[in-house]
Amino acid sequence: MMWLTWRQSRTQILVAFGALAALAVIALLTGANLAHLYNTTIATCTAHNDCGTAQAAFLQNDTDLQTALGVLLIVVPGIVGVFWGAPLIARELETGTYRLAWTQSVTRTRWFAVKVGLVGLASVAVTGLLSLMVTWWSVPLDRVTMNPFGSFDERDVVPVAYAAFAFVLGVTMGVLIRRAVPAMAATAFAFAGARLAVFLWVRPNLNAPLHLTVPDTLLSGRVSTGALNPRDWITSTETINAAGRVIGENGLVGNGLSVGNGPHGVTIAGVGSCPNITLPPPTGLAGPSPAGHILAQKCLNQLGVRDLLNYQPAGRYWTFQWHELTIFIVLALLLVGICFWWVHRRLA
Amino acid sequence: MTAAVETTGLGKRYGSRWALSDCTLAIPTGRVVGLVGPNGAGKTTLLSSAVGLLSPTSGSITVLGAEPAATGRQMGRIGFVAQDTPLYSSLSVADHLRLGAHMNPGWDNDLAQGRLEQLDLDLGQSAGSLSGGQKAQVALTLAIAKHPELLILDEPAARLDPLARREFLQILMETVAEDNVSVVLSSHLVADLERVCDYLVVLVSSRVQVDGEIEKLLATHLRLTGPRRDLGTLPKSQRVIEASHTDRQSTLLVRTEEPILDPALTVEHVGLEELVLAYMRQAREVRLAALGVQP
Repeated sequence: MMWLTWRQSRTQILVAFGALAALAVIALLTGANLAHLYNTTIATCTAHNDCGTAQAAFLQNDTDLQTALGVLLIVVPGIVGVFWGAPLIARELETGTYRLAWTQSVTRTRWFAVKVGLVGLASVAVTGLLSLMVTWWSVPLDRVTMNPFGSFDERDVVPVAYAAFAFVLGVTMGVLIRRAVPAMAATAFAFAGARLAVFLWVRPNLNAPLHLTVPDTLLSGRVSTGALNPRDWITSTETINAAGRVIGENGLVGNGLSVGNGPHGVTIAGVGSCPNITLPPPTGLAGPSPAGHILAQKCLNQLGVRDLLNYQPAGRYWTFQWHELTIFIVLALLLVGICFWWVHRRLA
Repeated sequence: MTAAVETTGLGKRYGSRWALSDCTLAIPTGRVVGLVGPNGAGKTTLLSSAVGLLSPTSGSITVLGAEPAATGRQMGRIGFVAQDTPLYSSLSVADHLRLGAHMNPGWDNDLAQGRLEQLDLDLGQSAGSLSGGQKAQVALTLAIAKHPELLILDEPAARLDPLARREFLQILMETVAEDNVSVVLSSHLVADLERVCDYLVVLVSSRVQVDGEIEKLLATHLRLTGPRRDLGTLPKSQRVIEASHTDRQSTLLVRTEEPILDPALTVEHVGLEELVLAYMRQAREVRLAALGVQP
């Protein structure tokens, strides 16, 4: 059975590992250069007192490759699911060759275990090695960008779990739909959906966020991160008034911030007014002038408006990696079970 | 002696449709058994159940006395050639032999290679480029080279042209003679079965209409022609399978163990095809009658 599985999938596996080897050569050459640049520019920038410029310049290196590797690591698990997982059994069902395979002196259990095990292992290995490579290559860049959560899905261990999940999802779709091409399409949609759902709704809630209250900076258009570590992940912000009531979320207040001069000085709709501050003209439709912005902000702060930051500290990065890995591996195991049952009971 | 295939109340349902229902039969070993019946009789379902591709919804089936496909060893005892003889189209013929060698402990590579060489098949050719006849030959080789005790073939020749079909059956016959293997072969072409089989099972709507050694079936089925008569006047030992009447004359197909003594009757032997068709028609009439339709 091992031989047949290898014979059927060796081309795709060899092509994948060949591409990986070629990529490794590129990564080694450019990666060594990046590490060298980091040591010569960033590591010494504090001495020259020009870290801002040095960092900006450093991040401009290999931007195409940065994007390409990032995208690659996002799509490779999907590709594995669509092109390796979905046709794995669907093609046999579609062309009728399962009747040949299932009537040799090999039980269906063994057939399933070897097929899914071997190609699944290859899927995980390819993605794992790619992730290892990209993670290593990006170390100097990641040190500068200081945002580990920004490239969370393109580093370390989670891509392996994505690949395992995508592969088994593909196999399952193939077994349920029994036709390769529709199964491939279904796999692509289902995998993208699952990843998006976890990214949007599950990941931010995996661990209860920490909270930090900072002076409001609504009108500056940027969220002040206060004393936070720049590597922390701010999942959401809430604007609260003096009484502690939430009046806005993620830098927005209710119906937008309507600011104007009222009988009691500057008046901010839904918040209050500051008799001691008057906005300079113009204060019409276009809103307050830049000078007016500063005054209005002063009023907001005077009224006790603050921003509440909900954040995940950078130290939790690996907790998140392992948690998300666990989620996708458990899903994958669940699907293997369904698949196994279906192949034995429903396809008989 | 254990039966090659034995079923008791075997049924297989797809959704609300029964492909096979309450089928009870016993097919003997040591023979080349032809399983014949109209499309939809349940032949493929029965044979697929016998090799474990399908598991029954109800009833039971044993093959060579054991549960089908329960273990690799049991699977090694049975060679199967599926309908349309599926092969991996991207794999070469030689790859298929390797597949057979890796997946069957009892594989006889000399036998397989020898057979295909005899057929002038290029082993390097991909299976996708083979003709239907060549495909059937490769599939048969795979099934034979594992040295099964029982060979099951599901309409292996249905899609072949008459020449390829004749060749295929010829080779099948030679193999069977050499290997002393039991064979169950399904087909709706009676002529094919007559050429290779020595035992016949006629299956219509999951029911066995008649089964037995072909020679004996032919010896005991007679066509009687004579003056029009009432079916009730026939001796008890003669079972009427089919009767047709004109104003003055009756033609009967009867099954009887005893010689026909009535001098008023002309007695003829019938061919296998005619015999099978008579049983199929009888089954249809019984079914229509059960549905309340007058023939």
